[in-house]
Amino acid sequence: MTIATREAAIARTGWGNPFHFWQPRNACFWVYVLGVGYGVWVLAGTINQGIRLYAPALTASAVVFAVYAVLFWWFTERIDRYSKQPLALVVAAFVWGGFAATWAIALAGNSALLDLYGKLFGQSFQQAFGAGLTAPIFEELGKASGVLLLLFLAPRVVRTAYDGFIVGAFCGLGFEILEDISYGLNSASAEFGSDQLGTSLHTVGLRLLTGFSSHILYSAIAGAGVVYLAGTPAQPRRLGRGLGLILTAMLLHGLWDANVGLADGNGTLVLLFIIVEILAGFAIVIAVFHLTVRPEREAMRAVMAPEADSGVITPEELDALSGGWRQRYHYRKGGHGRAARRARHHRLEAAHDLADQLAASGGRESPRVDFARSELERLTP
Amino acid sequence: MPIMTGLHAEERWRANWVPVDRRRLGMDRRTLVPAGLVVLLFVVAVWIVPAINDRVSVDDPIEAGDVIQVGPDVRFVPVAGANLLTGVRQGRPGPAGYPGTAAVSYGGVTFEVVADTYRGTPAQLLAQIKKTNEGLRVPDDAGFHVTGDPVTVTNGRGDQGAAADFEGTNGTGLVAAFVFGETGVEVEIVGPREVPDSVARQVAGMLQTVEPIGSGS
Repeated sequence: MTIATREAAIARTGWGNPFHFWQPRNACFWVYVLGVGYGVWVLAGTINQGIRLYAPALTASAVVFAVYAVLFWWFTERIDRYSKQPLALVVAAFVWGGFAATWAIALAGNSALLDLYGKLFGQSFQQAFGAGLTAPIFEELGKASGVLLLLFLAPRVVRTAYDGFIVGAFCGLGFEILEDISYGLNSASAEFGSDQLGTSLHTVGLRLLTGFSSHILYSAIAGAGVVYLAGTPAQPRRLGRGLGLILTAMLLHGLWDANVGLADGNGTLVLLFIIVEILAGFAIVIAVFHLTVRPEREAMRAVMAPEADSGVITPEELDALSGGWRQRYHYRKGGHGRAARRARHHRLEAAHDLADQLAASGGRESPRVDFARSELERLTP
Repeated sequence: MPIMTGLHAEERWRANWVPVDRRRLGMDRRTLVPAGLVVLLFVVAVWIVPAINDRVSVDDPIEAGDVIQVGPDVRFVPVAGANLLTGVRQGRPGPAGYPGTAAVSYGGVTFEVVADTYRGTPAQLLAQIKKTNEGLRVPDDAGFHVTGDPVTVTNGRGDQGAAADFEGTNGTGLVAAFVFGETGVEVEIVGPREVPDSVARQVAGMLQTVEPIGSGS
């Protein structure tokens, strides 16, 4: 592969392009600002209702889910290892999911539609199937709309379906965390508010157990779908695939929320459904990951192949950089002894840094590229 | 992300420039459709669906013999002709069981029953309800708050509860609390200041019917 191939890969994927949030000539910017602003206003009103009574429950939920958020943030950052998204972009995705999708869109839509189901089909139906027929619409579309806005706010950054996958995951993470905190707050009033910490932490525990397989997962799938649906210079439009992925996320969400109704209240069946849905959800999200990550790995290979040709990194390191966890694992384990394995780990990280600097300079030589190369040389055992 | 300087930064800045012939109302035309789609979703969620919901009103009249079950442990018998606002009739549970809240309206009076786990006495539950009522800042709640000293109320099978006045800016009522085993029950009765005696008697009768499941009475 040549320098031209490298530059073409960087240009195609938008890797290294900066994201500037302030874009007054972009209609998506104003919709984003107004959506988040309205969501914050609704959330503030909700908190204001119960803060005098339920401050301990709110604080406990917020602390627990802040730790939870950090763990999932770290995980999602880890899987975004190829053409990494700028921090400002993933923060924007988190904020949209946490405030606009949740409080500006889902809360109003869910409440009204649930009420309508109760009026039209009775409260038993509403209790059993209402959430399953409501949340997939307003929650999934609310989160996916964040990916759509950011796709047009950062058209030179969000280029591949994998970018949509990552941005969607962060929208889902924001939604998950803020929704979980609100569930903790709502539960404080159970048992007439006589044991707010007990009832709240019980709900927090349940959400901790099931959260890993819900919003983040669904939104990652839907986020990839949005990019396929809209199309980008790096990802030709695939209408069927895009719609299919968004509908898959909605279906997974709907089934999850309608478990009790589908199982007709049978506890064993509910548990069985939960297990099957978690396994199916993971199988699908892993399949979407593999479907979308290939162009990213190819881009990494294109960017770093000239470095392998010139001996800055080894062919084995190039395979590890542009491969999956197995390649990275084998590369690291190839070192004899702990110190050697550690050195290999450092080399891999330094090679990532070099790739990021090459992307930031558009594939051209720059003092920072030189410095990143010198770091790799310094770490040569 | 490193700060860009030099030629490359300039190229990227130019790439983000919106030419005048690509603007509409000062906005980049290419961003209008996605922004419009998200606004449409917002409008549907915040205005259209709630407006449809507001316009749909469903009457679910109570017939003689109907019993409303609240959660797994409590029931009450609404007066025939009342309208079931929320709740499920006994014997017709959904897969999720019976909801913990039920409400009927009769003669302009709303009669709401909430059942949940509670360990304590009716007087303690009433005090807890008062504390919650005073602590919450609920918009559009017409300023209702528990007033007056608690009095003892008794249901049809002789269980004693505690009750107090419930006063608001446009209405009045009563809050009653019972505890059946480890299940607390809050009954909230709210209506206009003046109601016909017949309605008041029927509503008082409904309060008498609030009892635990399996009481046999």
